[in-house]
Amino acid sequence: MDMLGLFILLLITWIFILYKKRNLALLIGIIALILGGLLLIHHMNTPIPITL
Amino acid sequence: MNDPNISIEKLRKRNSILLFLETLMTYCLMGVLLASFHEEIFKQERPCPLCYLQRFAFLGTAMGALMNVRFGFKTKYVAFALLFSVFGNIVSTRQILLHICPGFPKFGYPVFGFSLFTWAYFIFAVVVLTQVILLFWTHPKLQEIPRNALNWWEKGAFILVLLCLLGNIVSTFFECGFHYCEDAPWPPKRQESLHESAKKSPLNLEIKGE
Repeated sequence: MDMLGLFILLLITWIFILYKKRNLALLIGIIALILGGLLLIHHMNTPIPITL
Repeated sequence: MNDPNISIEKLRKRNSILLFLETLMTYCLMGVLLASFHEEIFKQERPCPLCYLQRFAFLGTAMGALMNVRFGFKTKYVAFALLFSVFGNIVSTRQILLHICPGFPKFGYPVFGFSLFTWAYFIFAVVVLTQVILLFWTHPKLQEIPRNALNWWEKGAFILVLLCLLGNIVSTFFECGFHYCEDAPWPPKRQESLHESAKKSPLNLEIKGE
């Protein structure tokens, strides 16, 4: 549901752009970006194997 | 560049060029997404969660460009697109770092010598540069020009973004359903089944090499 939710938020943003609700489109888009950032942080739990 | 005595004709011309470039960028971004669909459907490469996040960033950047096209060119919409493209850059850098170390498994077939996430990194970098150049070329009075109705070229960009968005929703639904997206197995099933079917055949074939 994580990625599906993000794409649905973008779909809502697209609908708001189409119907000229500029502030709502910006708001939903920024919320989607913040949630995407949180998801990225969650996926960062895999350590990068750096060998020196 | 920011001449205060600029004529309205020059402003209108600059506005139309900026909107044309934003629409062109949307088409290019959706072309990249269509290429990733080609890899997914015809080469049976299942997308990983980081791949989906990069697609999300591509679509978000296109949304910023569409806002410019729909509401008129404004710096806040360019900033919106920039945020998404920087986010995409971070995601693709993360994936490059994951697979760059020796001994760590490879993911995905290379396209023209580079993995898809490396190409995504280059494209996001180009998008960031493009947006910065557009910001340099903007004018404070440009934001006062009212937006006319969309032409067929801009309507096409809107429809293409919607189709790519719906395609991603369907793809994510079939991949993850309503659950948390897990990492995709590598190599994909197509290659595994080829090996298995060769071993099971009455001729006892063996495919050498990976």
